[in-house]
Parts: sequence; C-alpha cells; structure tokens
Amino acid sequence: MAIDAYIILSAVLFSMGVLGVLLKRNAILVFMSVELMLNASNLALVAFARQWGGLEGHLFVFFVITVAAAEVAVGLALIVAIFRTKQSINIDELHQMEG
Amino acid sequence: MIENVLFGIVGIFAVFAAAMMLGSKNAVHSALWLIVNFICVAVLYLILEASFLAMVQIAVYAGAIMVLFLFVIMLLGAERLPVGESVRTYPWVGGAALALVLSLVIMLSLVILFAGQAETTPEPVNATAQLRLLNAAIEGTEETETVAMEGEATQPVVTHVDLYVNGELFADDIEAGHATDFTEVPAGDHTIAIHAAGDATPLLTSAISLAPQSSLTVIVRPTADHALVVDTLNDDFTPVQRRNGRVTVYNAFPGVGAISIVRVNSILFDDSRNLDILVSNLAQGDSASVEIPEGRYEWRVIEAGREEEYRNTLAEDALLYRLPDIEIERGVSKLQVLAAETDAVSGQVRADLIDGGNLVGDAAPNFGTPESVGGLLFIDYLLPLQLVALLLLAAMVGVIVLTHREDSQPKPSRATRRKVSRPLTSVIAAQTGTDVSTNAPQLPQPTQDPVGD
Amino acid sequence: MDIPTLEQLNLSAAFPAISLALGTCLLLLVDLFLPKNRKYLTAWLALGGLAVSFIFNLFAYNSSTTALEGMFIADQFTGFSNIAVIVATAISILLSIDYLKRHQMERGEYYILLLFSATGAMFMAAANDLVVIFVALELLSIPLYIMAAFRPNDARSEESGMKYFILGAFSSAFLVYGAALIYGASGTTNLTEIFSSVEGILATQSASSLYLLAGTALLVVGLGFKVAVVPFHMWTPDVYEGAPTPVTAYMSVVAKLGGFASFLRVMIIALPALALPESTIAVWQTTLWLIAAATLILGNFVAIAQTNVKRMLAYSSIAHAGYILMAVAAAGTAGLGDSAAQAALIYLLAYTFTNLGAFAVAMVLEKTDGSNVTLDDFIGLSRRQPLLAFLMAFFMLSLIGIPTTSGFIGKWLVFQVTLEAGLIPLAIIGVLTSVVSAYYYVRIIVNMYLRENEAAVGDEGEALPGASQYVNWAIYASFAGTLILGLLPVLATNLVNTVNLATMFPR
Repeated sequence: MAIDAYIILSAVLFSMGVLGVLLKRNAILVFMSVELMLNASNLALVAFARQWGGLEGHLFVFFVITVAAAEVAVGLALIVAIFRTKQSINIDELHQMEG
Repeated sequence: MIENVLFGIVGIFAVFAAAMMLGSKNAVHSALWLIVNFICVAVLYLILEASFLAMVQIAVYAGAIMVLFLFVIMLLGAERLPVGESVRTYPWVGGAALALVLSLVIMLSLVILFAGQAETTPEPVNATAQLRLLNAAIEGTEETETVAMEGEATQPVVTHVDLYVNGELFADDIEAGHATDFTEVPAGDHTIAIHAAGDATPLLTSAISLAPQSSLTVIVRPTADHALVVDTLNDDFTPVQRRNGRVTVYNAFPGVGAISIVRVNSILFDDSRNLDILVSNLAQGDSASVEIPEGRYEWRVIEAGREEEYRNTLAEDALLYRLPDIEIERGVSKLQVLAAETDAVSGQVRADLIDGGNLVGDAAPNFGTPESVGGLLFIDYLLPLQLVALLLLAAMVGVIVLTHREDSQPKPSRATRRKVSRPLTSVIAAQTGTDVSTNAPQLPQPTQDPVGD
Repeated sequence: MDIPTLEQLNLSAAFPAISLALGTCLLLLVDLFLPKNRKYLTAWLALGGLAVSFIFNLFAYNSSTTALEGMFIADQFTGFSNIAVIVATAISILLSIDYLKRHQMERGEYYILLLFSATGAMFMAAANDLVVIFVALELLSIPLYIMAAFRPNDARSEESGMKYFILGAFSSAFLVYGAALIYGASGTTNLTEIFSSVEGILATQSASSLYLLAGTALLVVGLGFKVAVVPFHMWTPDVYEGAPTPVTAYMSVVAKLGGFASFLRVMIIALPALALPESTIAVWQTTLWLIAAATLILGNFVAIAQTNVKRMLAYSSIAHAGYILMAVAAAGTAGLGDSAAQAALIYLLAYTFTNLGAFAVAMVLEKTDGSNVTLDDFIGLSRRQPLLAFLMAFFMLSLIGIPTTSGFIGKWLVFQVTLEAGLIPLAIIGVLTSVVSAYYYVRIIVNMYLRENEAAVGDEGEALPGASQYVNWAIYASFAGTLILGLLPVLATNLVNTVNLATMFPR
C-alpha cells in the first residue's frame, strides 16, 4: 500500500480543518477544527513512520496528542470565562477592538 | 489487498465524518461526528501498525478530549448559534482562507503528480536487505600454526577472514569468534567470497540470494579436517510470544557430530526438575530456533541421543561441555553459534558460544507497541517528555486561573452578609416592637460624637 | 535498550533551562503558602530563580555540546538567547508587580506562568529536534494565552487571550504538519540529521523533495504566525491591545525571541542545502525576503495611522520582526548562516531592551480605568516628567535606529548581512521603511517636547498613574541596556563571536 494515499487523505482532512477554522463562527467549532488539523498531521506522521520503519513519528504523535489535551483544556477554560463575561461565544462578537 | 480495501472504506468515512462535522448546525452533532472521524483515524493507525497510538487515540482523543468538548457545549448551552450569516465577517478571513486553501490544494496536486512519476522507481526502503559475517573458525589457534592435511602439504589454519560481496570488500579481518554488525545491501543475487585476511585469492565462494527486507548471516565454520566451509543462515525477526525471547542455535563445532543442548534453570538444584532439553540432535551445520522465557540460564552440550538419559540420571559421561551463562531478553531474537575454541593454556579444544548479538533490525518485532514507544519515551525523548509534563502543569495552573475568579472581586462575602443582617434586624424589630428599629438609626451615633472637635 | 548514564545525558549543559524549570515548580509550591496580600514575594522569588538560571548560564555559556540524547544543543547561540530571555523576563516581572496590584489581579500564578513561558523560550532556542521545538513552543505559548486573558471579567483581555489562543493553535497545527512532511521526506526529526539527508533527497528527484519543500513552507507559516510576520500578523494588534500591558511587553519580546531562535536553527542547521541544483542560495530565501519586505512595508505604514500607543507599538513590533526576518533571509546564501544568526541575535537583544522600555513608559501613563494610552497622553510629558520623557525619546530613537542607540547596531548588522547576501532591493526597502518609521516614532517625541498644554494636562511633577519604584528600575535597566549596546557594540558582538550554526556542518 502506497504511503502517498495516506498523505493525500491527511492533506484533505487538514484542508477541511483549515476551512473550519476560517469559516466557523462558534468558538468551540473552531477549536474542533483545529483538532481535526492536528489529527490530520498525526495521520501523516504515523504513515511516514510506517514507511521509514522508525518510531520517531509515533513519538511525535504522542506528544501532539498530549499537547492537544493541554491546549483543549486551556481553550475551553477561556471559552467558559468569556461566556461568563459576554454570554456569547460567537467569534464575530469579539470585536471590542478595531483597527 | 484487504488493507487497501479497508483503507478505502475507512478513509472515505473519515472524510465524510469531517464534512458532517463542518456542516452540522448543532455543535453537539459536530462533536459526535468528530469522534467518528477520530475513530476512523484510529483504525487507520491500526492498519499502519501503530497499535499503541490507536489505543491512545481512542482513549485520550476520542474519549477524554471529546468528552471535555461535549461537557463544555452542554454546560454553556451553546449547541446552536443564533441564525445569521453562515460565513464569518472578518475582513481578512475571506482572502486568507482562499489563499491558504488554494496553496494547500496546489501543493497536494503537485505531490500527487510527482508521486505518480516516482512510482516507477522502487522505494529504497523496500529494496534493501541486511547482511553480516560471523566467523566461527577455531578460536585461539595461532595464525602461524599449520596442520597436516592428509596426503598433502601442510597449510596454515585460517582464523582471520575477509568477506567480499560481488568483488567488493564487505568485512575486513574478522577474527575467529566475532561477528560484524548488519549492513544494508541491495536485495537480489550476490556472489560472496571468503578470503584469508589480507589474502587476494578467495578461499571459498558462494552465491546468495537476498529477499527484500530480509537479514542474512554468513557463517564461516571449520570442518573436522580444519578446512573452512561457508554457510548462510536467514535471521528470524518475526515477533515472539509475550515474555519470551528467541534463541537460534547454530552448530559450528567440528569433530563431534550431532549434539543436544539442555539448559539448567537453577544452579542450586542440579537435578532433572531443572533441566530442559533445548535442542536435540543438532548436526554440524544445522540450526534450530526455540522460544524460551526470558532469564539467565546455564547451557550444557550433551551427546546426541543421550539427552533424556542425562536429564534423568545426570550421567557425567554424556556431558560433553559446559557453556557459559546466557541471558535471554524478552522480545529479542538472539543467534548463538556453538563453536570450538582452543584453550590457551592446555591447548585443548573446548566448546564456546559466539554471541551473534541481539537481532533487532529495522523491522523490529515490537514496532509500535507500548513497550517500544515507552522505551523511547523515557530514554531518547526524555526532554520532550519533561517539557510536556511542565506544559500540562502550566495548563492546569492556567485553567484554574481562568475559571476561578471569585477571589478577585473585592470581598463580596462581607457585602452579602450585611445585606442578610439588615433584614434580620428588621425581623427582630418587627417581633420585639418599635424599640429595636428606633435604636437602629442610633447605632452610627458614636462615630458622629464630637470627638474630633 | 541502553539506558544512558547521567554523564551521557549531559545535564550540566542544559542546566540554565532545567534550573529555571525546577525553580518554577518549586515556586508553585511555595506560592501556596504565601499570604494573599504578600504575593509580591512570589515576584521576588521568581527574580531570584532567574538570577540562579543566569548564573548557571554564565557557566555553560561557551560550551559547545549536545545534551539529553541529542535533543538539546548547548552552544553560544543558546547562551545568548538565554540571556535575552532572562533579562526580558526579569524586566517584565518588575513591570508587573505594581500593575497587578493596581488592577486588582495580583495572583502568584501570574509569575509562575511567566517563568513557565520563559522556560519554554529557553528550551526552544536550544532545541535540536522538531519534536522539542513543537513542545517548547507550546510551553512558551500556552502560558501567554492565559496571561493575555489574565484580567478578570474584562471582555477585552479575555478576547485578547481567545484570539491569541485560536491563532496560536491554528499555527501550531501548521507547524506540526510541516514537521510531519519534513519527517516524511527525511525519515528523522533531528535537525542535524535532516541536514545530512537533504542533499540525498534532492538528488533523487522523487516525491520526497516536494514533501520537503511543502514541509518547509508549512513550517515557515507556523513560525511566521508566532513571530507575527505579514500575512500572518493579523492577530497582533488586537492581542497586544487587549492584554494587560506588562504581558504585552513580555510577549512582544519573548515570543519573538523563542520564535526567531527556532527559525534560525531550523533554517540554518537543517535546511541550508535546500537549494536548486547548481545553486548556492536556498530556495526559501526568496520567500523569506518577500515576506520580510511585505512585513516592513505593512508594519511601518499601518503604524502611522495608529493613535493608540499599544496598537502603534504592536505594528512597530511587526515591523521589527520584518527587520529580523531580513537576517534570516540572508542566511539562505551559502556561507552567511553564521553572520546572519549573529546579526539576528544582536538585533533581538537590542529590540528586547528598547521595546520593553517603550512599553514600560506607556504603562506608566496608563490609567486604571482601562482606557487606552493615546498619543495625546504624551503631550507635555517633558514638563511634567523630564526624565521619563527623555528616556522615552531615547527608546523611540533606538527603535528608529539612530546611532549611539542599540537599535542602530542591530540594524547596521542586519543591513550589512543583507547586502552581503546580495539582497539589495530588500536592504533598500529596509532603509526606506526605517525612514517611514521615524515619522510615527518622532511624533511621540514631538508630543512630549514641542506640543504643550493643548489638552489641559497636569502640572510639573504630577504623579503618573503607573509610576512606581519597580517600574522605574525596569525603565532604567532597559535604558542601560539600550545605551550600553549602542555605545559599546563590541560587548554584544564578542558574546556571539563563536556562534556557529552553519559551519558546524560544512557544505
């Protein structure tokens, strides 16, 4: 099985994540799209690790997953905090500052 | 083939789930579709032999992280945003989105185009095999020593050899009892030649055929009449059972004929309970492969056919040689070559084991298992592991800081207590009559007393 | 499986960063036992931890070794970056002590997050592996997201943290995908090993070379977001404006330090040979100089339109990222890697002092009601606070790059290396935009010295809202750094004289 197929799949998923981040208005959905991007990167890493027969890719994925967990925790805490203040998590309403 | 079909189905489903996640109006549905996507990716990990990551993906990603998402969505009641424009209104978003996605698509198509071209050339990784040389000539013999061949002139005993592959020097001056490391060579047919060290004329030649991704050990062993013979042994990398190690024994001991090997499980109790027959009836030039539990064992060489007798009676005359202790490691394949060695003092020939080293090649049997990932994690990746630990600590502190904010309000508790206490006094006042309520305004009086005059 | 001994891990080489990490964990515990009204003690302990790390850094300064299984490089580059990070963090702590109290957000965790972030920056500068770069970058960034949203129940601060977080996570994903593609092409994440495999990859003309190219591009996008260069800068003004001012000062400096240190390491160690056949110029040079030019032009021109000082300084910091990127672009010419790295490092140190000083003065003028500091707030400052006005004028001149200031030395070295690399159009753009930048920097000086009392501001010697002893120390320290670097550039150039990223591996 050619590894390229996996890379193309991961690129498709990554692009969908990018679109989600740029087009979604709900902050939680934006975070989910970021998770989708990270997941696509992980898929590429695992596929490459299989191609090279080395475990560096697996270790990288492990760290990405851990960092993603930390990121999600902080991000959701930010959402909760901002929701308490503004009663909204619509990103378009985050425009106290203009310039 | 089944892999390809599985990949196709799961891949399409993963893309579909991602699309549904982006398309759902309800945030909860989006989260659920994202979980589906994560599980699809976990299946792909399994196809790619990343069993540990597949486990982590489901437990941590699809499990813990997504539960957190769902929890926050439900906590905030943020399933649906009020109906409005479906596209964000940041001025820069449209352009940036278009530019990024376009560049990504272009990149992708370039890669696909190139990948199509590159398919004609075989992947370098698949087209190589590993080769090494193990010299099992009689160890300890002086290089200058000669031996009389029957009916011929004497010729020197060869203990140091060179190996040439297709006429090129592969291993230089390998001493008896030593092995080289594996070296990558192209797969395919090769001619190998053994030379006495530094000698230009080959002693022996042989043709070998290397399958891609295979590993071959070239063994040089002496015959009973001190000539050398070349033999090859395919090394076995296939996974072994849990807690076991594999040992491959090759008999390169000249002059005795077939042998058996028993192992002694405990040096304390030298009886039949502790003797296991490891290999029986191994002729010279043969090899046998066994899987045994990890541990440290003593091995003994027994005359072939008498191993059962030795186990039951410990008959000393059946015991040919005692061998040094051998360490068997879990999950590791080991090659042990039984070779002859001349004792430096007595001049007698005795048996010895040449350690062919632990066979953990590129295609390690434990690729992607928790054990292998964990080993790397604590040794090679110690620094990022510690950094991730710090990161999680920082995130914990941060989450507490962000969500625990009551303290920062200037003492709200006192204000609420005062609010509560006033109704209480009024209740008391109502119950006791007007006295208390008329007293109440007088409370501040002491501060208004003319002290400051 | 060989378990390395402590000597093999070579922990002593990594001790400046390790000691700060350990100290921070310890401080987290100590902070629990400090009473609520004495959180300034945490600040002092944090400064103590930085001092310890600084001393260890002096011992390890001139080493040239790897540690922790080749993941960590301890060399002069690391040492110099560490100095800049430690100085920037210390000055930020001094800025924070009174600011936090004044804005009712004094919490010990603030200093702990600050130190975690500094630790991340130090490890990032020393990373020799894409995995470490990624994890250290996150360790640098995540505390910054939290600190940006540190002001409780304040929508602007929370928005700032949120925007920074979204764009930061977005850029991290690009970084990871880029790293994945580079791993796919080369089979390793170690920068040194990537370097040695690049030539072979390019020779085969296979899909791998495109993976490498695409990976490099995505890596540039990811790091470009972090250091805020032009197509990826849009978060900067909003985040800088909304975050508490000491946090803004800190992140405008330390995030750039960490980001550019990794940028230099990746480009100069791993990818210098990523060139077309028969060419000595790396393919990423053109991309980087176009980005740098766009950054310089946009940063400087948009800054002119700003009246809010924090936003103006945000665009100014974007512009300065452009100047540093000039040096990175110049590193693409074979043989210039080291001098480019040296120029970038000195520019970063000069920028550290000057920018922190400018933010400190802006902070002094900031009122507690949350209103913005505008250019008008500087009117007549020379009469009210002659010393402060003089220092601000000096910082502004340094940001322009007038001789005798550190900014001049930084720009001089960067322009020099750009010209050596033959990027003459870029150098011309750099000089022209420096002239443009003089307009908005000098405007502050004009407001302070030449315009008076149009808007009925206070009398001579009137106490400023943000003035305090610690802030003054911070401003003096920044001034001293700016002046000394400007007058005696030889000090800094001697500190980087043996920085060798490229010559470690001759091409």
